[in-house]
Amino acid sequence: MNYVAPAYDPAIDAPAPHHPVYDYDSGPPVHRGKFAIWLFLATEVMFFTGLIGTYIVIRMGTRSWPNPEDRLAVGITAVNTFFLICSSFTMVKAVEASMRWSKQALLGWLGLTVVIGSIFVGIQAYEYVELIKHGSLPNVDLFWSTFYAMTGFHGLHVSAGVLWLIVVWLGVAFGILRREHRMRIELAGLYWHFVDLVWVLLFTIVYLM
Amino acid sequence: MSGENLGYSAFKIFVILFILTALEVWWGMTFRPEDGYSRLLLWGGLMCFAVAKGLLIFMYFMHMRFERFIVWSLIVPTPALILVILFALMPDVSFNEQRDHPVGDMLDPTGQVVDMVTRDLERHGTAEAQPGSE
Repeated sequence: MNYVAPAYDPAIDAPAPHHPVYDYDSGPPVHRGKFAIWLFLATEVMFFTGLIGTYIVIRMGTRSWPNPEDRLAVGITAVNTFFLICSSFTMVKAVEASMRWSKQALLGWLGLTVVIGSIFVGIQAYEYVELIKHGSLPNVDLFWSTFYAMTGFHGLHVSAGVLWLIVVWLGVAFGILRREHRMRIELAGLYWHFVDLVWVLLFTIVYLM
Repeated sequence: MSGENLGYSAFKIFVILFILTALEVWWGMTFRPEDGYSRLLLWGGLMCFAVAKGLLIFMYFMHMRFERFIVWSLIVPTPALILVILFALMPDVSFNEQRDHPVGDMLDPTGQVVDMVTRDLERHGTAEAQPGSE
């Protein structure tokens, strides 16, 4: 059975009582939350393109760029990348559980996603602390300033994603989010997968190239 | 791990992503320009792995493969805008040879231009790093 994206649902998306009611829907033929999150993600794509584009200019304009392996713990970060991919998988399972509204499974998979996402942030924080201890500060040279700019902004996005998922988890656990709100879990999932997708590119560009 | 409701097996996608990540790290560690391999081989291979992984996440985990045109229409303009940014930045990349000294270099206290790898060598004394490899 193929997945069918939820369409506009008047029971959920009906305008507030103080809005005039027409006999047609002037909104886009897609759930408004999904429309909004994709517009937001499009702006996020441009944000990270700006960061990566700047990096490319700096990298190409530099006579001698250090081998990232000499400066960064590539092995640990590869494991961290694996954690983030695992969290994407657990998020998919959470969305799947939300479709059949299996509350226990949903809470379990969401909770697991929060835990793995937090591990990712924790390992990145540990990496920063170790680098700073060794004097590798953003003002040392362009390698470090671009490194901190790109991974730092991504880390902030992951942290925001973890907070978002915690709010969703609490909402489900306390019965504030119910079956009819399942789209909210899907929206949080879309953001989470986007953060994973950006990391896939950043890991390649910053740690391996 | 069949994922009937999703229309695809999330576990299969996860396993493929894991394998691609492992291969990518191996590729990145093996085909280093410092070891005599061409930079095109390293960067081309890495970009192939990254794009393949990104597409899998985009098409399946973000289920774009199953979305309607309206959702696609929201995201399709961004690759065009990315191209605009890259073209706008291209002069800064391609005219680099005409600069007095490249942007990544720094002046030491005596006013000499020092590049980053040379600074690493001076700080740590590691013979492995190759000055002028870029």
